[in-house]
Amino acid sequence: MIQNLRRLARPILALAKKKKLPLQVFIRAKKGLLVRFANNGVHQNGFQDLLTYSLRVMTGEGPVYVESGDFSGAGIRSALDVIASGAKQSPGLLRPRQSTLAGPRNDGARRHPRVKEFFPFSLEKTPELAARVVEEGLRLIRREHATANGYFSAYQRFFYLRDPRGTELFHPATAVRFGVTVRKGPAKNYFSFYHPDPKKLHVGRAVGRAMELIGEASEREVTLRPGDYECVFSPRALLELFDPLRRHFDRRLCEDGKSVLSGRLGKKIFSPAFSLQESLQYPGQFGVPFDAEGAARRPVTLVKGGVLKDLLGKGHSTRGFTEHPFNPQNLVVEKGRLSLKNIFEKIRRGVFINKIWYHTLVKESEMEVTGLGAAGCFYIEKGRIVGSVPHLRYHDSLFSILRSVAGATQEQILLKDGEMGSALFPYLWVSRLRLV
Amino acid sequence: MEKILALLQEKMGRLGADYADLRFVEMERSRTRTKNGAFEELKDSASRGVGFRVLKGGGFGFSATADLSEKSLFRHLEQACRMAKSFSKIRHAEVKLSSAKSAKVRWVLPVKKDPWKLSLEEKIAPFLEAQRKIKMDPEIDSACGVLDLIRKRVVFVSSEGSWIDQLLYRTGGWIYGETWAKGEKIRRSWPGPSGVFRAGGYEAVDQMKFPDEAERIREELKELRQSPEAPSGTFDLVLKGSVLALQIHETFGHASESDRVYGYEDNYGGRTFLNPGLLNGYPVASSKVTLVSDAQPPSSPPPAGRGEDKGGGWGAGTFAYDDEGVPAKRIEVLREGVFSAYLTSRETAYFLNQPESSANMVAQDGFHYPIIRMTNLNLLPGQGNLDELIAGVQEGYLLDNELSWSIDQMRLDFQIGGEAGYHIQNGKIKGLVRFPFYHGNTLDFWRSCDRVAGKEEWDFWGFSDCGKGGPYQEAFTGHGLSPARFRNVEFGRE
Repeated sequence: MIQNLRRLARPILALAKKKKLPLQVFIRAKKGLLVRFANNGVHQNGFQDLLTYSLRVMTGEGPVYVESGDFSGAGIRSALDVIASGAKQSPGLLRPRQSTLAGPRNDGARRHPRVKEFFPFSLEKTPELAARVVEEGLRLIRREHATANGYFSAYQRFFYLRDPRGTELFHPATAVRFGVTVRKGPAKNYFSFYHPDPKKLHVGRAVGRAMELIGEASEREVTLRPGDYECVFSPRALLELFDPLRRHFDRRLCEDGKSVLSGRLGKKIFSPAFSLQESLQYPGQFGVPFDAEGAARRPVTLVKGGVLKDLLGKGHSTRGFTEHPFNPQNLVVEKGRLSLKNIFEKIRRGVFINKIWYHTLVKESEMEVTGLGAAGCFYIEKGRIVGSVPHLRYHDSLFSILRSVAGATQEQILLKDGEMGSALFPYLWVSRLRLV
Repeated sequence: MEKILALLQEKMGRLGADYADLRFVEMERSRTRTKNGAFEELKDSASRGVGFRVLKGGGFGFSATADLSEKSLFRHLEQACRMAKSFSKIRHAEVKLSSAKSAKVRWVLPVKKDPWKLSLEEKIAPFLEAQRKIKMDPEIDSACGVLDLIRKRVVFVSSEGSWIDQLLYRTGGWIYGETWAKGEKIRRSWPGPSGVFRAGGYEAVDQMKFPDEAERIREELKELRQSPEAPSGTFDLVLKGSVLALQIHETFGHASESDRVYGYEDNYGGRTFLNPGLLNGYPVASSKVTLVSDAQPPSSPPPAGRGEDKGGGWGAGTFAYDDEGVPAKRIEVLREGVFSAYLTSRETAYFLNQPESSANMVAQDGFHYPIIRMTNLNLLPGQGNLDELIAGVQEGYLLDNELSWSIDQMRLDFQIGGEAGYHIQNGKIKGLVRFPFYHGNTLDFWRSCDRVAGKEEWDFWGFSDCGKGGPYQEAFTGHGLSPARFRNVEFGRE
């Protein structure tokens, strides 16, 4: 594959050299299959074979990005013309950049962490694999007199980066995902499995995780009064909950006073029971070992014992790929010592939220958010689940929620997070969440 | 390319399938950001791909590729066929298609000013001028603008003999200013926080009159630094512009997508409170509310009830044919408050025992499977103007641009926050408030609509980023509307 990508990059770099454009070329290839199913079987499937390149000028002030799937001579010329038109608008574009966040030197290949994320499988056989997974999953669910819907996907991805300083980076990755929502009576629950290695998928275990909390909850629906409740967030819900805070870990944003974390470095912002890091090196993490500018990804302790310890800069650029220039790609929330059962046993009156829907920022300064629970909201009373909650809306401050963290499970679950990374999160217990 | 597509069409007829189609899609998008009166960032993208759909044994198979060589395309057509065969054995339901007439059409969306023929300097000039005006107040932290241009060619070819070649344009943009007060960021934007998109050329940007609106934004930001926060309580509400488009979109828009009825979106987008038993008998809104889905391209004069052409292009969901080759049409989703039709595909129209699809199948590009989408979902005008709506309010708020929104998976319980609210007292606007947000239940809320303003206020609003499906895809939607008034709406959460 790397030979193919080199061959594709060569004419782009040659033409850029001729035009004196110091270009970085980032080629991404993706091949694979996604299948969606409902109770009786598959209702949608699709095989995709995608190839795109992104170009960016490595120096200067005004970034210009071109993304194209047209590798023909005309397509490349057209892409370079766009870069040149941007350069005309921003004379600083081709001047050397003074920023401390400049791209890597030509020693990148040695300094990048080694990450094995490629576990080859036959693309030809993925339809058969998908059919087997869906059939087995539905058989197990029907056996429990439940209904279901979900998806299965298996992809191979290749990331290839070249820059005019001679840096060449290549990262192959595979990913298998299986997500299932199970309904029984008024209760429903969701579980998704993700791993780069398809052999790690155990359909029975994934369906079992989706089924496991439904038991008693399927007998009773609970309508909750507005007020404060203890809450357990699933790893997926926690990742969604945390989302509005991500961009605020950008060092430059903080230094400019435009982050809600500005001026809080070294200060306690969350509960002592909450620690967070950005780390691709953490055991069980996966992702691309270089950032959007080709710099090596390095571990950063963002929050330790509730104290804001560090911020993101070089090595964490997502420029051109996400809306914000520096975004965490491999978040890890520190695990605790409890099991999920232990946590439930400690709760007097609380809720379990498995998945969040339309989590939205109402007011930024206090990170006031609202949203709804979806696919797996349960009411917990005196240590056990006593019913499903069909409708749950919260409205609270993220700071306030994370200041009330009381514990986390020992189990962490791997979640796909964006195109180039993943997250490793435990179940998180908070002592109060405001439901409205 | 056309020769290969013709060969592929021939091959579709020899697959032994019940039906097959392909879409060859070429898409270009150019997004320019400007800040504080200067160029900031240009992101340009181009993609070309072909997606094949084959129906065999009651199940669809889909395969898409960016490799446009003849060998690759035939391989992917066969792959789609193999997948149909393979998955039809474990299909969710037997797919049958409602009828559709085949067509041989070439159609180009009419544009007055082709943005692709303008220089970058010309295109961003009104944004830079607007930002300079906003920044005349030194307490304004930043003034930004985004221009977003899309050109998309879709060639649809089917085993039923269709060959539909369309060239579509989508043009959108917005400006905003930001200031800080009491540690809080305050933003005002025009015409919406993530723009308004039109099916048209650069004339859409001209019509948005950015430099003219800049002065209002500057003055409102100045006022908002001193304004109180919106109170909690029950008030009348007048909605206009982008936030009313969002209100329509998130409630009846998504709720009327028929794939939700069959659980196809349960795993991501959710379901709907509109079940088929409610069709043609159940008042889900007041009699002032008529919503039509209408992707039809411009005609002269416009059909009754569509409002006048203001010259800035049509709704961003406009096309001649959808991605199943069905001609665009006008259907009433709500007729005077009564739920009267779903948005359908050929597949769900058959399930619903309807003779034909409502032409709502759209895919983001050639690589994605077409799914049921809103196109232009329009609130038909009533009578009078915005001032008359405001005059009828004793105590209430007028909102234009959204800041936050959320709604449950059945599309019933929603909460929407605005960038700012105009406080109305005794029929007059008294000043601005910060961070207003209201919430309610879709049915109660729309039943409280007592007036929609008339044709003179009617125009298209709409979005570029309506997300749905798996793999996730985004679509353009248009929402033609006049301002509307709602009684006794809950604000705040105290």
